[in-house]
Amino acid sequence: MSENELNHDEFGTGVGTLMWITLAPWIWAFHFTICYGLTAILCEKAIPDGDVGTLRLVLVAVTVIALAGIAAAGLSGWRNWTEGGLLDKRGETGLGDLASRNRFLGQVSVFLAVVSFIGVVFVILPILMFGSCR
Amino acid sequence: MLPDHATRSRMSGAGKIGLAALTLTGCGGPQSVLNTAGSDARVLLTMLSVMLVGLVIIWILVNGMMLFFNQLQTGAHEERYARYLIVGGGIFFPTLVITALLVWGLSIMPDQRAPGDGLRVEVTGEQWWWRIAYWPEGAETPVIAANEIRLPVGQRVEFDLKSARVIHSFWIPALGGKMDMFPGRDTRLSLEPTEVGIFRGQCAEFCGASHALMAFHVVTMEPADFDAWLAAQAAPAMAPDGDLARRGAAIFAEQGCGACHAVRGSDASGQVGPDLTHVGSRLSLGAGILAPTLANYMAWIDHTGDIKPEVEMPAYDHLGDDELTALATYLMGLK
Repeated sequence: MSENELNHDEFGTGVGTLMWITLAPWIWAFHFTICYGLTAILCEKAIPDGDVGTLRLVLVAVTVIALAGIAAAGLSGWRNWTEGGLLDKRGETGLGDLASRNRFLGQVSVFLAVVSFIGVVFVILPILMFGSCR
Repeated sequence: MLPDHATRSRMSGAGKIGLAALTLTGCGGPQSVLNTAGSDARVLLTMLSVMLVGLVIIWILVNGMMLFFNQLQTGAHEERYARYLIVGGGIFFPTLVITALLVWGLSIMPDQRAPGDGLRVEVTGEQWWWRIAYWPEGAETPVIAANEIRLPVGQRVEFDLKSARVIHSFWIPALGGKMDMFPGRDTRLSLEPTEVGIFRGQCAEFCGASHALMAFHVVTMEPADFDAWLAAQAAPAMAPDGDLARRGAAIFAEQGCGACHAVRGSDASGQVGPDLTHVGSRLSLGAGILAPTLANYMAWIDHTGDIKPEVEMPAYDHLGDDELTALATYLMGLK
């Protein structure tokens, strides 16, 4: 199979495109920074003992967007991973040729997306469960 | 080397407290997370127990599988089966367990930060003792005390935690979790004692030479008893009773003790060291480390730094035994 025959090769082989596999962890990092930063600043400066309802809504919206982005990254990875057949019928991933390399990178980005998804959910949980800045 | 009587009184003090603790409360003791006397500590103990049992089960499962696959079924395994095991046991199961524990842990945290039912206690970590100020609901001035905390049972009390110079950590294992105390930043903790008793707290963050000697007693009381006690603490010190105590009070003034210690109702108004207005009513001396006996009071004043290394209070070792006796008698009379 040559490079041109691959339907899904988002990750390609260049260093620039290789960075795409880190998309999900990047979303996780941004989500983390926004949640913690916004909560810390607002609780300290604006609503120390007050209502966190609006803050919570904003962060839930940010979370939904982050989860959608991570799901998209994971789906894209999944398509690369499963390119050329079902799970059990494919060859080993990560061997020398371009197709298996592409599958390997797809597999890695799926796993990173799963970890990032869990991470984002864990970050939003305290905000959902605590009703105040205390 | 410590002078003989210091060693003796120190050991007898610590020994007595330790022995009393052991015989009175069995293995639990006054400073144990297993011997709970507050709702917060009970929640934490439940969590500890559940996690311990779960851990043992998981440990047996993992080791059982290791034994099974290493010793009993050593051949190659079907790939699909292996994959289910890895994805199921390595990803799904831990994620579920951690998520459940996280949700449970988060659900109990708001309680431990909840506002109190009225009484607020401000505790400042000093090196190496505890400055304590009780703020009953609506009070404009606090009731100042030191090195011992009394609390009413059945009420949630809010603690305002501060530190003078280094990081300390405030921990009463029988009542709840611990909370760090930072210089320049207030932290909060709330505790709800449920049982009457005497417990012990301890600084739980290394804070210098005498970190291990920075403790305090916690006395939980019926609300009515607590109110009466607090009213007594708010009152000025009792006048020295008897010639010896009066002589002690004179020595206290002569030696300049009042530059660092306050005895409300006298000229002594120092704020550097612990407030001694009602020191004689406390269950310990030197921040939870000595039993309040005459010998220990004398030893403490005579060679303070030997008992509590690097303590700021200078040793008054130039005083004779008769002067120490008078001083100790005066202080013990400050009920």
